[in-house]
Amino acid sequence: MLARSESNYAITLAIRSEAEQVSLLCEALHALCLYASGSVECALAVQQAAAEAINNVVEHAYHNQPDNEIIVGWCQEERQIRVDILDEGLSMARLPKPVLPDFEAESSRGWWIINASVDKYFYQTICDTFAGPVLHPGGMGTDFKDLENIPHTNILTLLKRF
Amino acid sequence: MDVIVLADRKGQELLPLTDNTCIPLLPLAGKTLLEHTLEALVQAGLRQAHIVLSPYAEEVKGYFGTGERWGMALTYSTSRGEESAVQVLASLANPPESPFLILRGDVLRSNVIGEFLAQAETSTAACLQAQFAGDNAFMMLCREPRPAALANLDWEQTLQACEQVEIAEGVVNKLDSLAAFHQANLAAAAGRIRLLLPGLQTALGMTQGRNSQVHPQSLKQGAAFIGAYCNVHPSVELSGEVVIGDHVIIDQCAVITDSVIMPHSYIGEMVEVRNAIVRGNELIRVDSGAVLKITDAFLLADLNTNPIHQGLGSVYNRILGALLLILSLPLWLLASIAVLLKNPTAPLNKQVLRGNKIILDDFGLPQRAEFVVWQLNVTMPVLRYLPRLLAVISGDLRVVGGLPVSIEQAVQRMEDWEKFADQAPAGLVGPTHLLIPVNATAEEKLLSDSFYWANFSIQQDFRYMAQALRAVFSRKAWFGEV
Amino acid sequence: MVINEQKHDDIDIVVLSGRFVMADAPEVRERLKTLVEAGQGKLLVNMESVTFIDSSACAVLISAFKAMQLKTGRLVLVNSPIVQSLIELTRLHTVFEIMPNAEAAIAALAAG
Repeated sequence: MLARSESNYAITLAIRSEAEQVSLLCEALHALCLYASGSVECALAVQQAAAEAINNVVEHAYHNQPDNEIIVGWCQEERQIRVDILDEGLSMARLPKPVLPDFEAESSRGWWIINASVDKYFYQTICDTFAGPVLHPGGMGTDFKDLENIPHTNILTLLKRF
Repeated sequence: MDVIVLADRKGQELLPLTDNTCIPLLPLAGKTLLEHTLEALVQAGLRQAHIVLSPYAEEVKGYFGTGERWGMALTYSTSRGEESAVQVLASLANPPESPFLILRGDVLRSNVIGEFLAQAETSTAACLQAQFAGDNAFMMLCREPRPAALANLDWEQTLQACEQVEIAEGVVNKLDSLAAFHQANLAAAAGRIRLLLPGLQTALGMTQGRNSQVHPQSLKQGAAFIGAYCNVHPSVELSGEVVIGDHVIIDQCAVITDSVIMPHSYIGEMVEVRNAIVRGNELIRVDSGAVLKITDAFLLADLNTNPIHQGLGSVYNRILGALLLILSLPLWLLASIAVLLKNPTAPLNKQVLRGNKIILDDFGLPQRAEFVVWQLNVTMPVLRYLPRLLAVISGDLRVVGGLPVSIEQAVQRMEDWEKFADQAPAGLVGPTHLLIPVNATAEEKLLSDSFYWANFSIQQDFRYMAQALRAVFSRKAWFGEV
Repeated sequence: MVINEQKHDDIDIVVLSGRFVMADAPEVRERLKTLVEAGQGKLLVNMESVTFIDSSACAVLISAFKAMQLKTGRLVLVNSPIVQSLIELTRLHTVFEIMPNAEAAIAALAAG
């Protein structure tokens, strides 16, 4: 994991897209949030949401292919923590509505957990020439054609107040 | 004394009321059911309790927290729902010390706990069960850790022999059907069930919560309980026994008889509700149990998902918009000359704002739709925003409302008061447009919207409209800041 | 994470400790599957020492639970507060049998 701090209130962390690396990043985020907020609940909630979001990136954006990079920007804005999760993998056309699936379903609880853990989250895909719309949970989707072929960055932003 | 409160009913009997909440959180005469239970415990001098939850456990915990607000110390655990009391006790990390009181917290009781405990003092039985009117009162005092008779507290009871104490006064209602829930509400409004209702008696038979607007003459006969933040038009008629939850709006000439209106509901003009439970846009007939889903938002609407249902109907707004467009035709001419002189190359700017139209998203949930509006590249505010009149005609904006914002701006609103202000419909003009300087902070503008929405009335809307017309002829409208 | 298997009469006990997340999911899934298939239908998953859990770990527990149901056996969980809070958030407590500690869980499984 790589870390670079821009100021007293911001730091950028980077890992390879492997499931084994996610814990390192999540523990680091937990410690940062605990340092900033002094609240165990806040730190756990951010870690919970970030773990789900980064798992999604590893699994769906990069299809479990290692050797891709996941960059996480953490910063404290007054009484709020902001976590930006950046990847260059497959983009989401819309941010799913956070609904709890039936018990039978083994997966797809991630967005529910993210929604319950942070105050706000949104998603955007940007590339050199243009920025896609900001997508909100359960909101309107977007239709990107052939985005895989153009270099682009997906950003999921999590906001948590303390 | 240790107290165990079983509140893990699954709630099928009360569907559809429990389809997105659980029985402990079900509002009954202005408070949640579990709140009534906690208040009954406090009245009996019991100030600590362990609550066993199942559906929506995280929401119940979030609502009650440590119980400080009720003067109690609460702890929680969960069950799989309607588990047997014996099993629940076996799965507690800290089993209660004998003697302990164990009772269901998802049935309604009033004034019975104290009496039961007093009567129980006179007996030395290992286990004493409360009976009310010959029926199970779902309450037991245990002097041994796990008596077999605990099974009598199970929701699906298997009756076991146990020494019983008959309670003469007070009320126990099992809330085991929609009709029982309806009756319990009406009885609470009429005072047949004594509960601590959150409000003041403002007229004979009428109890009213804080910040509610209701006229005593609306109560034709009987008793009514009206929750907090309600708006009941003076021409509304309430009769029989009526319970109205928090944040309810009842429009002109509606007639409500012997009914329960659940929180966040809107009842349209001249709608008659009799012997029913209204929740959002659903009308539940108590006699037949039939649930009617009303799709016309002018009749019944869910205010949680329908933020624009106040003030002038959308049809009037659009007609008014068309009239204003005709009146503004000379301004359009002036605007086109001004824009061609100033910015012939880029005469228009595109903006995407969030309007008042409700559309269904992919999940069938209502959302406020975005709309595109153009603004003219001129410095005069009155000309610059002229094209917004078209958005009034299309129904995206109201004539009077809050400041329209983009979805990105709306997302930043996170605190409760901000979310409240965000419910204000977007308008062409409004107090924020007229009275707040353009360069004021977003927070200041939002505060103004919040004030507008909290004090909303149609008369006020007309006043803002008159003010806006005067402002068109003001210096600020033509030479003011952009 | 550390996975430790024990046996108490006919009860299989799996003690998990540390972080139980996506990276550990395949291994735990495999171990639980083997135990469910080979065991006597009594399985205790002790997560008292689990410090963090995510939704992929919940998925593993659900799959073990479903496999156990097919065998008409019983799966009992013992959770740390962090595990319990995620289980409650995802409302899985309405399905899983949860006990406050290993002793109570073993007693419950031994009783039938």
